[in-house]
Amino acid sequence: MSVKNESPSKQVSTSSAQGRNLFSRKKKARIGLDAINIRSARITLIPVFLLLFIFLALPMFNSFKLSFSRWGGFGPVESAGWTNYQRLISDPQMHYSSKITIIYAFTVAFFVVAVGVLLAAAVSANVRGHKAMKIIWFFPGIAPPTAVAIFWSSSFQPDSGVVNIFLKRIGLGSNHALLASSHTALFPVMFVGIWSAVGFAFLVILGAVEQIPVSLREAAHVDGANVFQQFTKITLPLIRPILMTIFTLEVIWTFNGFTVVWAMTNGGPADSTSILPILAYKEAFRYGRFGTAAAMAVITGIFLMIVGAIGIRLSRSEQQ
Amino acid sequence: MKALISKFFAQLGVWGWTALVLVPFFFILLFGTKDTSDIYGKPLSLIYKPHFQNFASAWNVGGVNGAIGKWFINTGLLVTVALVVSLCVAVPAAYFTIFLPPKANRRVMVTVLSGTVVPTILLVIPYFKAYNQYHMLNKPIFAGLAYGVLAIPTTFLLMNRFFLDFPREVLEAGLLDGLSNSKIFRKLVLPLSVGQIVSVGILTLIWAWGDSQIAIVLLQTQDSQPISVGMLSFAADFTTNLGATFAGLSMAAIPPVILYIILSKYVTKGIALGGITK
Repeated sequence: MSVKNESPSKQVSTSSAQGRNLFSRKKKARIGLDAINIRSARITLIPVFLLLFIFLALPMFNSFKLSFSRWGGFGPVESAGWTNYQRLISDPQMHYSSKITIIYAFTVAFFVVAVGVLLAAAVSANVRGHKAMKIIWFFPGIAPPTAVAIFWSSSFQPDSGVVNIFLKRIGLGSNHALLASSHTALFPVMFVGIWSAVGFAFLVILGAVEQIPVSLREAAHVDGANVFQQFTKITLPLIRPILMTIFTLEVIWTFNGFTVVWAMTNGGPADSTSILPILAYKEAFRYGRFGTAAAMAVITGIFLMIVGAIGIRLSRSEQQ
Repeated sequence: MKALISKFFAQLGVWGWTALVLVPFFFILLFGTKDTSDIYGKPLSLIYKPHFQNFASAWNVGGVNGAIGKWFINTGLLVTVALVVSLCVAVPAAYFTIFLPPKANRRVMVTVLSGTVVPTILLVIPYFKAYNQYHMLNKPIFAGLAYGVLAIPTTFLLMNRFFLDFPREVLEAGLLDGLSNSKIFRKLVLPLSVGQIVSVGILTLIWAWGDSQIAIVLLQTQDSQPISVGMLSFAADFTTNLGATFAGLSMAAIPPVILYIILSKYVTKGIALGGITK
C-alpha cells in the first residue's frame, strides 16, 4: 500500500530484488504486493473494458445510428434522417404504449415496494414461521418468468382457469375473461409483475430493516410506542433511502420487463398490453422496421436514464 | 389488546402472501399429473388417478422427439458459457483492481457501474444485426457469450467490494511464504472466496436461465432455443392438452426452485450483499 505510482521498470527491479535480499524481505514484500499487482490489474482490466465496449457501448451507438435509418433486417441500411422519430411522434400506438408503460412500471414498482415493506415489517416482528417464509417468498423470483407467466395466463382463462375456479367457489361467477378484453388485460399482467418481483424487493428491504439497531426500537418501546408506531416512526424513516433506490430500480426493471408481458399476452389483445419493449420487438422482428424500432429503443433508453438520474438524486438527498 | 390485534393481522397477512406465492407451484404440479379431462371435470379434487403420460407428451412438444430435452441442453450451454465468461473475466480483474490507488479503483467502479443501467432494448437490435453478419445467430454458445458479458458489471462490482474487505495480512503472509502474486490469487484468495463467487454466480444463473428478451432475438430456430423461449411455443401447442402444458411448466419451474432451496443460503446472501446492482 505504501508505493502506488511506481514506474514499470522500477516495479520489475524491486520484484527481482525481493528474492535475493532476504533481510529486507518484509519491506520489499509489501512493495511487490502492490506494484506487481497494479500491472496485473491493468492486464486483467483489458478484457473487461474490451468486452463491455463491444457488447454495450458499441451497440448503444449502433442503435442510435440505426434510429436515423431504414433497414428491413437484411440488405443495405438506408439513411432516413428524422423520419422515424417524426413517425413515432404522430403515432397513436406509440402514445398509448408510452402511457401504459409508465402506468405499468410505476404501479408495479409501487406495489412491489409496499408489499415488500409490509412483509419485511412482519418478519422483523418475528411472526410465526418467518424463517421458512423468507425462503418461500423468493420462489416466484427463482422460477423462470416464462413458466410462471404462462401459468398465470392460463389461470385467468374463463371457466377452466384457476382464478375463475376460485371466483366461482366464492360465488362471483367463473366467466371473467380479463385477458381477453383490451380494457382489462393490463390488470392481470400488473398482478403477475408484482407477484414475481416482491420476493427480491422484500429481501433487500429486510436487509435494511435488520441493520437498524435493536436498541432504537427498544428505546421507543420503553417510551410507550406500540409495534405499529415503532414501525412508522422509526423503521420507515430510517430505511427511506433504500426504499427510494429499490423503487427506482423496480421502475427501470419493470419498464424493461419483456418476458412476463410477452409470455402472458404477446402484447395483445389489439396491442393493449404492448409496453415499449414489446412494441419495439414487434416493430423489428414482426414487421421488419428495424429503424423505427431502434428509434423506440432510443426514446425508451433516454426516458429510463432520466428516471434513473432522478432516482439516484432523490435517494442521495434522502441519505444526507 | 391493540398489539394483539396488529399481531393477528400481521400473521394473517404473511400466511395469505405465502399461500399466494405457493398457489401456482401447487397447481403446476397438480395439473401436471392430472388427465386433461379431470382438470376440466374436477380441477380442485386431490383424489385422482395420476396421469404421468403428460410428461411424455410434454417431452415431445410440437411432435419433435425430445424437444424439451434439447431446450434444456441449450439452456445448460447458454448458462455455462455465461457463467464461465462472467466469472473468468470479472473475478481476476475485480481482485487486482483493489491494488490500484483508491481514486483509480473508484473510477473503474463507476465506469463498470454505468454498464448495469443500459436498457436491454437498446442492445437487442444491434446484437441481431451483428450476430447475423458474423453467422452467430441460432447458436446457444454465442448467445451465452452475450449473457456472460452483460453479467460482468454486477459480478465485477460485487466481487470488487468483497476483495476490498479481504484482510491484507493474509496476502502479505503469502508473500512472506515466497508465493508469487498470481499464486497468492489462485492458491490463497480464490479458495477463500468460494462462498461469495457462488452467491454472485447464482444471481447470473437465475437471470440467464429465465431471461427471454435476448434469447428470443439471437436464437430463433426451435432447436436452438433455451427453455425460457421454447416454452412460449408450448402454451400455443397445448391449448387443447392442458395436462401436458402443466407437465412442461413443472419440468421448467421445479428444478430451479429445488436448486434454490438447497442453495438458499447463498442466494439470500448474494442479494443482501448488493444484488441490488443486478
